Amino acid sequence: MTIFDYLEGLKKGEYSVTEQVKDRLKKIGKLNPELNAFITVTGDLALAKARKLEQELSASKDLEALLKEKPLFGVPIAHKDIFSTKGVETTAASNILQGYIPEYDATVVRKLDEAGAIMLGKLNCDAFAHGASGENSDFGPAKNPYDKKRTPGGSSSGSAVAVAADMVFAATGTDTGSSLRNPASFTNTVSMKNTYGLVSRFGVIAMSSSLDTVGHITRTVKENAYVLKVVAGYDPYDAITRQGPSLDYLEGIESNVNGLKVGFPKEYIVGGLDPQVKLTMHEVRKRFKKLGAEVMDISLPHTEYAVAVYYILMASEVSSNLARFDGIRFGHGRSKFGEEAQRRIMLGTYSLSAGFYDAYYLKAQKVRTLIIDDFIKAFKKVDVIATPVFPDLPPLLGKNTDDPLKMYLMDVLTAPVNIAGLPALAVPAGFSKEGLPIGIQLIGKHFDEKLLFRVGYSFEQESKGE
Amino acid sequence: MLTTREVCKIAQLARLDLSQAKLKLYQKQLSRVLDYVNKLNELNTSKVKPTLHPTPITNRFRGKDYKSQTLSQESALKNAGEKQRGYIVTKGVFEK
Amino acid sequence: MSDYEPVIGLEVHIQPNTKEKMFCGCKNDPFNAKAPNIYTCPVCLGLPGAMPVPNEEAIKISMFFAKAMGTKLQKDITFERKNYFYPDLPKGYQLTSAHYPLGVGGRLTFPGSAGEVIVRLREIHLEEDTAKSQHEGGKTMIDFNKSGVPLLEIVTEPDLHDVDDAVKFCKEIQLIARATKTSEASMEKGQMRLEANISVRKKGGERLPDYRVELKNINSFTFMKKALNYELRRQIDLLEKDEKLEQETRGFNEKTGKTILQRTKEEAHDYRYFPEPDIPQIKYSITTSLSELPSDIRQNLTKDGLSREFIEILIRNEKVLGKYKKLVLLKYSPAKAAGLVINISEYKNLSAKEIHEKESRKKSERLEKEKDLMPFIKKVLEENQKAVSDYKKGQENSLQFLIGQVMKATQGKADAEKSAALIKEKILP
Repeated sequence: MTIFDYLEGLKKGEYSVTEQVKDRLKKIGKLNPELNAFITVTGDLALAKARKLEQELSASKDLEALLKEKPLFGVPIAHKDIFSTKGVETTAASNILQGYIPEYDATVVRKLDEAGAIMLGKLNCDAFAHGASGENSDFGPAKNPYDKKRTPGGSSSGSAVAVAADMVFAATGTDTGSSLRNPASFTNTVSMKNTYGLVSRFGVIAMSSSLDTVGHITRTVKENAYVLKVVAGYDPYDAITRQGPSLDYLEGIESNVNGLKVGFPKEYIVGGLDPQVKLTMHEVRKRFKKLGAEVMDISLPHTEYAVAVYYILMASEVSSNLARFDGIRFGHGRSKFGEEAQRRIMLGTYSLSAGFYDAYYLKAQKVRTLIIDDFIKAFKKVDVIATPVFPDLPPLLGKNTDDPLKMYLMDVLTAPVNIAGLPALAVPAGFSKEGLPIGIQLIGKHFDEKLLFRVGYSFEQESKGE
Repeated sequence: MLTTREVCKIAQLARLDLSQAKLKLYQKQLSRVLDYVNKLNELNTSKVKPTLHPTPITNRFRGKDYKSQTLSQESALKNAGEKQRGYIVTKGVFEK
Repeated sequence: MSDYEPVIGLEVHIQPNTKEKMFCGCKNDPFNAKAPNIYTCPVCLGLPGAMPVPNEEAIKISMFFAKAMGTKLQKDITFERKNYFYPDLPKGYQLTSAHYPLGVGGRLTFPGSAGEVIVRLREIHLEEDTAKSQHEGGKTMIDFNKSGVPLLEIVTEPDLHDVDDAVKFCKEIQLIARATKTSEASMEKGQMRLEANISVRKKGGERLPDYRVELKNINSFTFMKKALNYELRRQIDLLEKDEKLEQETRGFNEKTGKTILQRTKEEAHDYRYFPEPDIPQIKYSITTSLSELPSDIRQNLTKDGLSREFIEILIRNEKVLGKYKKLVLLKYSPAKAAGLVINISEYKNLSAKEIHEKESRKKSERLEKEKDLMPFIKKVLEENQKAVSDYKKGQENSLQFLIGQVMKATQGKADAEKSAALIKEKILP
């Protein structure tokens, strides 16, 4: 069932909002002990809101009219646990914030709430979003519904699981180096890592301020576009968001992609790619040709330096963003930080410190310019760039946990996009022989989300046709 | 390779109270990561400008649509570990 | 002691009186807050997820002030994070534009102890203030009402060589802050704070000493004078003993009157500055002209021929200065106008117009004509033979005395100048 199916059913009176919420809460109760997608379930709050919305609906008797103001009327969703939710515990999946109850809502939380969505709970993730597998959570990792011995990806691990296991229609998340695309790719779901500055970060616990983006995971491309319209756009509380109204991302989404130029960067089809992922990319090229697109090889020469740039800049900003966690105004003492947080704080502090700033932080900012230029040059030749999201199939839990560097290298295909602030849509591209999801990302120019949704939709529909 | 002294200094600067075992572990792990990121030195960036601002926009100020989010004293103190007479309290010696 | 001279540079902090804080919409009024922690929000409390959005009024006020101080305005401002840990610093970093100041260079001239003093300005920049913390029995009590309030920092070159001049310089900044309506700059209200860098060299020396001592926590002019003088003596003592002086930070203890070591050069902070990603670059310029500055006023009043005493009084009182100007426009001589608005207590609460009316009435009653004055003058001279002979001998104040007697006899209606002339005529052949 998609959001649109759900709203149709509501309109027809096939079920009530409360029934739907109750069903899903039951499902969560049944599946969560094993999948560990939710840290907090807000059953009472959800039911209270459901009843309130129902009163509105019975008073107005016109869902169509209500949908104009509240496009997500009664739609069950959930939030990654780094989104501040007023009155509801927000842990960032870390012991240091156990018991922390924010006194304000993140802008995105408020926008979704005002749009009629119903929050069912707070979702598990890597603590402070530090990770690409969900294994850095202080509350245990979430499990991939396609194979519970494997990671669902990270850091928005719980978000992907909650959507893939049909607990909610949409789950918010963030993407700083890979954290929305990687989980979507591992769980056969869709996520848009949108342009830096498109969606407000106010109220979302900051990881790396020049790289963080706020987005969501859904099961289909159209649903993702529909939700983006609700959250995107100017926010007075986030100085990076831009003036201007939020676009209708569904507009023109069904148009074909004839003549569209799709570039495949050779640096992304590296030797270390899993053969099934390589094969999938081969198929993807064929599919685009079938859709009428013009497929070509391009080069993004500085790709191999992206992980180094990412880890220096991200860790530097992390070390500063986590300085407020001193246990005085909120949270526990700094000894409660998990290992990965400590590691990144140490790395970042070092990169910024006197005598090392030039060699690390400044150097990384310079190479960042080179990576941005790579994309600018490429987009003169093509409209969209297609690449795999992850060089491997979804790893087994526990596989890379004692080698931080190996974990960091998992971001090799996704980090360049964050460094350049570009949008990238992660869409399912197929399955491995073992039935494990493989996803691709479609990278676009700044603020070109509409085009990406169009391309993604065509691709998605074409894949379904097989 | 990070020296023990350097690791201790970083931990101090970052206000992380780490055990000897942790310090040793991070020394090893971080040295490995730093060796890796040193590959950036393969690139000549003498003529490259750093991207110090992630956005091209300028002059973003608060406008009339910025409603102040001032909290009540109770809200402000709600999550504090220790409070007294409206103040947030902390023990310990700090030197500025 | 007199072989040496102090080399003093100052860092003066002023709180501009904007309505709201620097990066959030909370009220900027920590001094008058009726309770702690009532003007806070997620941003100035440093809660997870909060983001800064700059206050345009603060930028504008600050640029006017920087221009008034004589610095050259810069167009590009970037806020950076200055990272360090302290309970009164909620984010664990302070947002500051120290490396991208609003105003650079320039010089401030003001009357010092021994004539005019010129101090070169290094830069003026804008930053945010920290919270207020007070220590009580092993605990630290923190009030975040002040956290995030805008703060202007003025940094000078080490051009001051006299402790009293350093105090006068700070008072001059106070004047300018008030004249430009930037801030009341009251030290008692915490709107102005001082930090001094002081070192010592042989008098007449030109090179800067290779060290300097940073003095922090000075919150009154009295304490500033005490702290600087104490440091001067302490440093001279050490130099005379041939001990090497090092770069260090010291705090002033008001109770003991001494400075105490807080931090050595080795322990100095590593602030790890980097640009704040969440605040887009600011490219700002102001165009309108400024209010009259103390130095301009001083210049004009000096041209008017007023005494230094009168000038310093008029500079400090906008209302009185206004009345003075009006009277000068009404054709009173500058000296007379100044005397009327400053010295005459019955005129203190009157407007310039009212003063003029009263004076005119007095004038019409005034005895100016020789035939009206002569009877009184003759009587006064007869009754004060000693004063007459004293004046003949050359004592000028006897003349003043005699004029005074004439004023008394005519109940103040005699014209002083005319009386003086007539008395002189009468006495001296």
